[in-house]
Amino acid sequence: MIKIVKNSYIQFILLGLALLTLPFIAEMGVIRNSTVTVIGTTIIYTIAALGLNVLLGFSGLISLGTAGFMGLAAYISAYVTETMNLPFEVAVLAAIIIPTFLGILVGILSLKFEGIYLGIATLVVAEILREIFINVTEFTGGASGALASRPELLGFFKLDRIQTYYLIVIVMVIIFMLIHNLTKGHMGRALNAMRGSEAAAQAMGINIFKYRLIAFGIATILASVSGVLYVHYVGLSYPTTWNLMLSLDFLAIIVVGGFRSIFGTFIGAFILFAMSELFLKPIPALANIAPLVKGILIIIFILYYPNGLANIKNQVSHWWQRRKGKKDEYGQTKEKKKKLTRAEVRENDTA
Amino acid sequence: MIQPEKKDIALKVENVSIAFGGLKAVDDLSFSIRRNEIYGLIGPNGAGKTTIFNCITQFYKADSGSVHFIHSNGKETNLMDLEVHNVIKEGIVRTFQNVELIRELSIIDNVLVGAHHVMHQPLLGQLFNRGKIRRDEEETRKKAEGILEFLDILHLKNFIAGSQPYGVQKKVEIARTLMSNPDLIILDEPAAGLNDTETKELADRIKKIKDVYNATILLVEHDMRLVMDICDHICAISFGEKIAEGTPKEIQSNPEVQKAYLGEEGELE
Ligand SMILES: Nc1ncnc2c1ncn2[C@@H]1O[C@H](COP(=O)(O)OP(=O)(O)O)[C@@H](O)[C@H]1O
Ligand SMILES: [Mg+2]
Repeated sequence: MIKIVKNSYIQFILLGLALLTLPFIAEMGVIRNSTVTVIGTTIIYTIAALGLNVLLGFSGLISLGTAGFMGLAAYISAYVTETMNLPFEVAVLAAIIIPTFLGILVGILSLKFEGIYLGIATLVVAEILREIFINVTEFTGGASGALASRPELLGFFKLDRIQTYYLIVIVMVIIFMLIHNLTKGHMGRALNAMRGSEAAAQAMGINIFKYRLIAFGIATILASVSGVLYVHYVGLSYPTTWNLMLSLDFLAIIVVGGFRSIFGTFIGAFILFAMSELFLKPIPALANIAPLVKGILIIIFILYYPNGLANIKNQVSHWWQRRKGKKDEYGQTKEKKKKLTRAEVRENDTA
Repeated sequence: MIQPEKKDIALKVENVSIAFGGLKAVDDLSFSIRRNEIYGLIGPNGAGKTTIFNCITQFYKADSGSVHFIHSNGKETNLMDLEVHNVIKEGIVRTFQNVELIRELSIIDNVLVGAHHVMHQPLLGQLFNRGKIRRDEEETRKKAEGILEFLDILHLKNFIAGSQPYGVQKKVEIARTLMSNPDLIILDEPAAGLNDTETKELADRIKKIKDVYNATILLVEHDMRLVMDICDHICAISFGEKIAEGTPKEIQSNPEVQKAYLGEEGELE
């Protein structure tokens, strides 16, 4: 049983199933409908933040442009479905391909700009996008925003609010699985190597240029998916939404949740977005301190838990295992550890 | 010294020079390494040893000269034409003087990085974790475990690389080179930071690597006992220039070498 739960796919599916029950719980009156909407939005943010986690957590590349790409995808999807009257599927494709192409171009920039300069370069791109959102009114609706209706799948299956929520949950679970596949093996090692030691990566045959573009590509694809889901779930897109604050929020999500952790990204999004929406904002006295709480959280994590919540989980389970006295942090008994044979190590691995 | 025949040569460094600002770090240096030998490069600190390694592996582009690698089938490649990440595809792999590992990853994951260029995993296959990909991962992992066992650090495989003592980290770097099926392994001060017992053990391992993996080895090392013990030929350099080349015996009795080392390492044993 434990073994099954340790399988990442099963964990993702269990999380998905738990999230799918929320509308029923709301139906029963235990939680509010608005809570479901907040969770749906949290999931949407999780997807964009996960893209940033691939970029920053795995590859060590900073981007302050996540919100810009997310917004671009939102506007494209709204425009293609509402103004051009084309099918939702076409909108999704256009809203992923165009921003991703732009994202890969920024990836090329990353070869010229390192560290903080890359951050500034991505910020400039996002600000240019925001100017477009405000000024190219035929496309974006300008300050009054762009409207979008709920997704219509395959041209006839119009989703309502709750069905759209289900779609969001399913997309999240699929993305978790795919990103897990990509990051746990060959590509994940290449990205890790690139971050850990560029010299070692190159000596081992890793083409830095190629993997930087891949990292930017993945980050933008996820930001775009997130933007599409956002505009069809929330129903509109304002230029003010896609600002630097939102990009910084994505950064904060992975700082709090944990670099390179898929679950951590979800938890980070939950803490930074859902908690303040659900627990702070409804109480008038606390509504204004939400940004303050956010700021304090970020400082605490950077100072004391630089590996985020995902790592605290590991520390707790190590501590728990040590307390049980039987096993050390790698699940091997202490007496055995000294002279493990190869077979035993493998056995431990699969256990 | 008798010049080796062409087909016996694995690496040919010819008239390589590189300067940083006004400083000539490597000055018109030439040497050849025979196939399946252990070749040592010695010289005082700052002599240009790491720089020549960087010129061979294309981390630096030499200002002039050439570096040719001759495959066992006789095919000759001018390494200077290659991009740095393509050098390993010729069968040439290196370690670094200041250990370059991914500190946050486990030892086994670090070692697996060494197999990057021998694994053929298209992105789409990885995305859907196809059976072929899983088998490839599984086999590569077994190979990595075999190498870790060969280097006596298999029991540490799940430990975080950055938290390990220096000696273990050096071994992890060597393990990583072995993952790439190398023909030429370039080691930059593999014994630095090791104690006497560890150094002896390392000498033994390097010889074994040469035989078991049928590889040619080029190394820089300050520990003269190690160099004299395991190298077939040695090249001594000082201020970027070659001052002597030959067998360990010839090098030991060479007055130029003695002079270059005086006051640096004391005397040569
Ligand atoms: N990238 C670089 N930029 C400037 N100077 C360098 C660079 N790499 C090496 N040097 C200089 O070249 C000389 C040789 O260095 P190095 O090859 O590291 O010596 P060693 O023989 O100790 O390995 C030194 O004077 C060093 O400062
Ligand atoms: Mg050196």
